[in-house]
Amino acid sequence: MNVLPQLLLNGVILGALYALISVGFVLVVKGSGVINLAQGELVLLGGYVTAWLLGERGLPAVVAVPAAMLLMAAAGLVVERVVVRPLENQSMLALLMATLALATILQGLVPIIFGSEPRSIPSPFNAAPVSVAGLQVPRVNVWSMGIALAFIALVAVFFATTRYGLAMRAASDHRLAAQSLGIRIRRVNAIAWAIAGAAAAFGGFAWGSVLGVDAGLALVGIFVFPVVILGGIDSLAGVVVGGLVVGIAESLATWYVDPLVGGGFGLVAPLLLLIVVLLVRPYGLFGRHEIGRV
Amino acid sequence: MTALELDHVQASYGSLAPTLRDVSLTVADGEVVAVLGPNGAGKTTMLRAVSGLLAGERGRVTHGDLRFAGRSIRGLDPGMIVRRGIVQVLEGRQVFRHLTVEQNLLAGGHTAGSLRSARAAAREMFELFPALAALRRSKADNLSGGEQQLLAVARALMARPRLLILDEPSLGLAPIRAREIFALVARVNRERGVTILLVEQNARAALALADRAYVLEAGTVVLAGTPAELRADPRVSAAYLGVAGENAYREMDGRPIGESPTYRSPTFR
Repeated sequence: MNVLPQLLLNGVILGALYALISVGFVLVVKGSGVINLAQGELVLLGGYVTAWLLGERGLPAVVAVPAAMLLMAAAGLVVERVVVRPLENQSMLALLMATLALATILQGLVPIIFGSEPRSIPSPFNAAPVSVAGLQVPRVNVWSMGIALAFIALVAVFFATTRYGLAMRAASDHRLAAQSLGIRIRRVNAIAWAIAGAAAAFGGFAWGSVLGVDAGLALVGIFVFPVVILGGIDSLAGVVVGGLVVGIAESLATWYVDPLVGGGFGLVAPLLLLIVVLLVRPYGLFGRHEIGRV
Repeated sequence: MTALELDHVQASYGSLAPTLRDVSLTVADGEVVAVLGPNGAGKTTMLRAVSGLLAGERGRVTHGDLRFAGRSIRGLDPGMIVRRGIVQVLEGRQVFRHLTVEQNLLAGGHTAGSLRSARAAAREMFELFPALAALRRSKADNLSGGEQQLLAVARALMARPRLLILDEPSLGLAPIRAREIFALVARVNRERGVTILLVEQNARAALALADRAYVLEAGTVVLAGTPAELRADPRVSAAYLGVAGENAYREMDGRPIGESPTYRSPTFR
């Protein structure tokens, strides 16, 4: 049996989710110039919040998932207000260290709030797999991919057609010029963090559904970096492409290489790809040249 | 009516000695006021102090007050200052390079409150500046320097300023493009009634345009007056108009400009 189509499809599904959390990361970088090292921890928190709403509160998924996204958007706003804003106009390094601290704090705080035992997210979907072009796919994966891509499309529409979307693009292009025209950088940052939070909540739900929710969920944050380096931070389309490449690389490496090396290579492959891309094109596959020079 | 008033303003970056030591100046409603001065005199710092844009470089106003239409604007965030009616065209144009001409304008109309009113204002700009209308879908990065400066001015007008501040609008432009920009500034002042505060290296052009001018040196105002008065001052002609001999340069050493001897350049009208 030819497994390649199945592997590719799995990779695409995985990639859509990587793209989703990377969008949150990219918005924050572009909006406030902050490399957010805590994006994975936001996914972790989002996973626990979703598990809590779905499992313990027993809310239906159509309520629980949007509610979790709203709660995590609010968490994003809190992070912007408490961690980022006091450091505005400080060096990039200060902000980087602050998000690293945030990551560590969340890793410690989440088990204190939610307990340390892994949780499962009760699947809101019928367990029977969906058949896509003759391939069997768990229903939850199909839905996750669909919602992830829809979310990204929504963000794209926000950028293209709204006043604040345009303000965010202007601010990321030239901060001082944007300020000189009355665009409020703080508000722009706040919106970016809120979207990053909402994206993390959905990422937590989607991954948590498959992997279960425990501290390991934060590891997905690492894959933001290969996605962003591959896709660049300039366009949402680039992020989607980067996500798909990373997802497919992971899927293929897991199937073909893992048995040879005893497992785990699927997780290494995207990071190897990251190093190779950086060696060949230090500003990313689609990135603007200037990014490498900053 | 006084539009803008700087009252003994001192500003500094971080813990450094003040870049702006003591600046007082006024701009009346409807006036064009030019500020001349050598590099490092604090001209850009002064303009950014007015627009509230110093914080990004860890600068701040440490003494004095800035008032616009009679109300203090010291310490306001830049967004609030724009909403009060002061908009600045930054040095070096600083268009949004990756956005189109039209998107640049719409971003300039951010304070209009809705994208729809920004679109209406952009249509008005395209009528005013047909050269921009032809370029509306071009990325600003692909525009020439003169076109970018035109865009930067139009983008600032989108915010409907009462006071338009221009920092070195002719910088890096070919002389003919620079003349077009000065003509544009004059037109904005005349036709739209926008008050203008202008910093400019090209003293000759600035004095031709301005109703009054100030000379800023080492963070303080050393001379003020009408263009005719300033042109008549030998130090201005020596240092900024480039028409005097070396005598005038020598005389500038250390002595306050107000004590200038009565040297007149023979070539000066």
